[in-house]
Amino acid sequence: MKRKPFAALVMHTTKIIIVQVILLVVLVSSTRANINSPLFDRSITGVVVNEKGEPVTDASVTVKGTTTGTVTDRSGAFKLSVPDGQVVLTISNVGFVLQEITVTSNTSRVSVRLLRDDNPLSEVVVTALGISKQKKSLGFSVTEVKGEELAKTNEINPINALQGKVAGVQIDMGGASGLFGNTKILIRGNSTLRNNNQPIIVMDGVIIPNDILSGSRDFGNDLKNLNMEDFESVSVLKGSSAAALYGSRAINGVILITSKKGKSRKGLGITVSQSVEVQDPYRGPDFQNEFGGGTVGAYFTDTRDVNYKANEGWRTKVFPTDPATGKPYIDRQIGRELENWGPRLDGQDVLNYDGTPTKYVAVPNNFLDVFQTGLTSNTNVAVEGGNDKSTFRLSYNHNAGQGIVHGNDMTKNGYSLRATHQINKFLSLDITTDYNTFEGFNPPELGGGSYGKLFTWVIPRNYDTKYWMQRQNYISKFGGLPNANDLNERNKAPSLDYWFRIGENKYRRKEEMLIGRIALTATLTSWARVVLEGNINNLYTTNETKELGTGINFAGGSYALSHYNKQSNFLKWMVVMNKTIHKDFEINASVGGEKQSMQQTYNAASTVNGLIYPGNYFIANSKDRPSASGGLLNKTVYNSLYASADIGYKDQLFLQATWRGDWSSALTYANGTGNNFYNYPAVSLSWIFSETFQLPSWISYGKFRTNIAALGNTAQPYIINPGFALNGYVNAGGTDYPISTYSASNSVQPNLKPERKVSKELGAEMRFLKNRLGFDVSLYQDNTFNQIIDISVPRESGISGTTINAGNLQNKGIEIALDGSPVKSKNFEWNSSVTYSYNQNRVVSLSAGLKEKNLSADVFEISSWAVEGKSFGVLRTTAHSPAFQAKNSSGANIDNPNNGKPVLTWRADARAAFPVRSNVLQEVGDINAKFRGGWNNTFRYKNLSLNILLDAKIGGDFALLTYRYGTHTGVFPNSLKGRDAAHGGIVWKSAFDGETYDDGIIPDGVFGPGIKVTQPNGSQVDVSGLSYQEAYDKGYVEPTHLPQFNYRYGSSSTGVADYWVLKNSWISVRQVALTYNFSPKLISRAKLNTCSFSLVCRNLVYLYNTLPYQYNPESNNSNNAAYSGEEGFLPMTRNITGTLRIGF
Amino acid sequence: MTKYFKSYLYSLGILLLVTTSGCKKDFGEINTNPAVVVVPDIKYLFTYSENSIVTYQGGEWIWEGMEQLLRYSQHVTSQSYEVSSNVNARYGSFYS
Repeated sequence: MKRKPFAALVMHTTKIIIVQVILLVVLVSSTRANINSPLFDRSITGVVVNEKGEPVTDASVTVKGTTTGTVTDRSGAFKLSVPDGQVVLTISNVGFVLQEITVTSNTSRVSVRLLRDDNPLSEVVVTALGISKQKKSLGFSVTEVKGEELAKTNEINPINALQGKVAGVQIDMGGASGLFGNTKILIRGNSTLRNNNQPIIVMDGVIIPNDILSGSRDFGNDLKNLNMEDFESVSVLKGSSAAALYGSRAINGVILITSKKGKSRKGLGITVSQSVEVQDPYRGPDFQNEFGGGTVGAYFTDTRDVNYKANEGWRTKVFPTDPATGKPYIDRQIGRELENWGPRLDGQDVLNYDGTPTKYVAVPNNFLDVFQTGLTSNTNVAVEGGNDKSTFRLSYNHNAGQGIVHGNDMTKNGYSLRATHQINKFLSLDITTDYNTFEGFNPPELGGGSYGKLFTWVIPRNYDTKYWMQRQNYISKFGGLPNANDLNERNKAPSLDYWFRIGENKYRRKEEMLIGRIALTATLTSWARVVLEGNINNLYTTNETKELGTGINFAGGSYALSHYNKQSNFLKWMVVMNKTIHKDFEINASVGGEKQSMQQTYNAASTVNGLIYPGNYFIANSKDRPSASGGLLNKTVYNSLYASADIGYKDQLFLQATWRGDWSSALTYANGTGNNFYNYPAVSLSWIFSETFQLPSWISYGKFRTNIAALGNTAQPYIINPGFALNGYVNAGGTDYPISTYSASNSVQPNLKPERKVSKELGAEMRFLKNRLGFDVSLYQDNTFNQIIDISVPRESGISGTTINAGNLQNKGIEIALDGSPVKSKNFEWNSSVTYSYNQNRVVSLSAGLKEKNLSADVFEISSWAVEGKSFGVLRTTAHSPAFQAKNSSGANIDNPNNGKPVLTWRADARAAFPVRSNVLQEVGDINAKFRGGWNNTFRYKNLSLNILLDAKIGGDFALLTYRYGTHTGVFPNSLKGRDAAHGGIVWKSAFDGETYDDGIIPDGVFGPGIKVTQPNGSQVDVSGLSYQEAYDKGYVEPTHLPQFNYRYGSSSTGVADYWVLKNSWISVRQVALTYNFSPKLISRAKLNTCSFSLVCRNLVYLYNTLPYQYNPESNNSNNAAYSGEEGFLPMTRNITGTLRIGF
Repeated sequence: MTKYFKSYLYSLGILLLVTTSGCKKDFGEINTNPAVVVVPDIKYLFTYSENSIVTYQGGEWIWEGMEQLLRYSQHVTSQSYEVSSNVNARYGSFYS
């Protein structure tokens, strides 16, 4: 471990900490130095609290009629020197009703209770470029969520914390990826034909990319490194108008995070919070537990165990018998896939997979047995302080624990310092340094190596997971993994490689994220200021893979080490002006420019063909020459200029216009030419009509807003400047020769243009009954044109595709947010809000001659497409069965009771009929949800509050590959019907072999054209056009054995997609949170500022779930925009977090 | 006041120059992958083509060749698998 890079890292970390400490010391000392001595006669102390008795920080307290004043500290306390005699104090704060109190000459201590100001006229939100604006002046939709509300969820991925809270935001949790995996988020639908349509995150002006998953283990993207305890507020800028000032990278929207900063206060404020979270994997899919492992029967390609009796070729539900001992044993199915067509689980005495005697019983929880209770601990300490000149806030966060998958561990450390300082009358400084480290291990494998696949494809219902997971049972006595084909190996248990990988291999990622930001604001005049800002955001990633050899004496194995550096720099200048030019007109304007540059470099090395010394992990321990690669992955630079102006008329009509121009390196040809400039104009209008007209008194507030904006986007770096790349070496006659070819398989349209998005929005907000009830509605339409897409061209041209500007992708929708306070009294309060979002996605056009495009997001045989006239994310497959249509002799369609049934085919080697694949692309679904909604309720009784959040997704298709696997192998309850006479199986004596069977079924469907069935006497009967029932009634076919049917219905070669692309609708009890704020009296007695305890239960239960057998509906395997499905899942997991928060 | 004001104006002016004068400076170079060359040495391209033909499906030139394929199949169906795997992939290895 402690090699040189580590030492360098320690040095690096130490340096950062030293710098932070110096800053801290400077700030604290300057705080001290700046306490000026008042010349007043007496002082008043006091405390300001809200309706709930919680302290109100930052409230301004002034002596009326003077300029003397102060602000309250974190505990809501203030101290103010006032003249002798009776004075009036004015106490105000954003979001509260201004209050005046009279203080008599002999009062020295006051207590003030501020009432919340529900008046929407005074609401302030953070908008683009971090500028706070009055919400009433905005002509676009912005939803703000308090950081505190998000931190309470204790989610590692901040996106999960937003689930259900914001209308127009679509979140699909990646429930298959473990403790710190990705979650897909879209704002107002998929707006480009690319695979990443996720909004970017901007924290205090620092852009944090939101990448999509690559690879089969999900370590989560950059967002997991953020610490929600540092969030003051999160603004979701939904429309393009809101985001237009962020340029190219904002084409999919922006989520704006404002971090906390210190407040001017007396002494230091220390807040400590400690959370403990328990993750409970409470329910997996429901399996059947009546029948256990065994083969489907003798089968034409795979070898069946030789110890079945000769007359058992078609018989299931029997054990093979060990010729040596004469005892029955559980079929290990060596040399073929494992199936679950064995005998009824009745506690029979059998030999286990390792030859030891055991009982043949179901292990109903063998899937849940894989998992453990997850446990994480999250500690946060924040120290803040400040005076009228300087503030600082320093926080440290430590979040560590284990997920529900063994070995899926994590340690996160976050150091954050934000300091502000007023250097002099004109100049102020705002500095942030964040250093976050993440170390994560062993996220569960997705796809082929997933537990979902294991338990549906391989492991039968009698498999005792807990036993086989133990090290002594998955390691061979010869070392390595037991090899079932080795005659000397007694342990022939299936799938031990899974437990071997969990127990012996380490997949590790370490990330260090360093964010440094400095902003200098110069106040030029009373109405103009200049902001100069620079920031860096660097992410250093180390990946390490240690795999133990599975051969005898642990031969084999591998070691790989790679480093990725993602670096971005940002420089910005901006001049901000605001001036009231006439008593009715106010103007706010800004001009600015910025330069962003990003680059990614990497190096990777790995062993080749196994390790020389097993279990020793270093690159030189490679059997063959190790492989190494590295270099610059990409580099992009943007230069930009922007300007914005708002004009307010009489505080009721607001017009805002913004413009931004980007010069992008990625659209520049090697000779410096290219269409590399594009701009984003946006105009928005807000009209507070309740100020203009005299409305009835029950209408408290009314606003219309509208906007139109254009956005642009650039190409991927390098694609327009291809050349010749080296492709490694080829060995001939013992010599390596370099080989080289053209670097791109695509040609690129000459004069490639930037992408263009045009968005329009119309909205209204109204509040009624003294602001007790309100709504906010938005209607929008976004179109993205000239998309830079790859289309395929005939291979004979020598290229596989071409990159062109094409397409028009449209999202149209409506977002509604309702909120109200049905009950509001001193002790009891009930606030309720509902969000609803409907988005219709449509591919208006692609390109001349191109009506559809494969989006490269396959779930096995299901592919995801953009289809003209339909949507982005149409699911298609060639593996669906065609529907039968009867025709007359001239080929015209005729009525027939069998019309619409699946067309069947016949396999003589299986004596089974089953739906046939159409082998033409058929549409089988659409990933887009019909609508999503959330219902958030907060009940408060005195100091106790209860929050209940429900959220729902209705519609949207999802491909469940493992459901197909489980149907194929017989582990799901859908394999019971017809399995024996007791389950409705037809009992018949087969004319083929004279044996009697009880597992017969009549498949629903109609035989396709030209199907001939071989009879027991060898003759053939044409059954085409007959339904199976008709053919059976006529005596042409015997019943199909259920195992043979299911096997064919789901196999890789003949399975159909008829039943595993399903509507994924759900209603989830997303959160139930109980918070108790200790009473101010108790708190002050304990000499504390704040003290609260909360208990939060996330993902409690699904009230509605359309997936079969309690499948986890949030199993999406990727945050790729076009992907909707799973090739593996984890159980439904609920998280329970207890948090104690104390402020000194 | 004026002293401060002047220095702010100067620094602002410098910054403006820095960020705007070079709107597209070096963009051509930035957008060129350092791992590609424009003028290749033809011998490495030839080796690549040779290698693709030899290694495709275990030896295109021995038994699974296009010519062989067409000899024993009556027609190549328009089914997507047939076109993409048997025909296009071969063109890919011949022409790239």
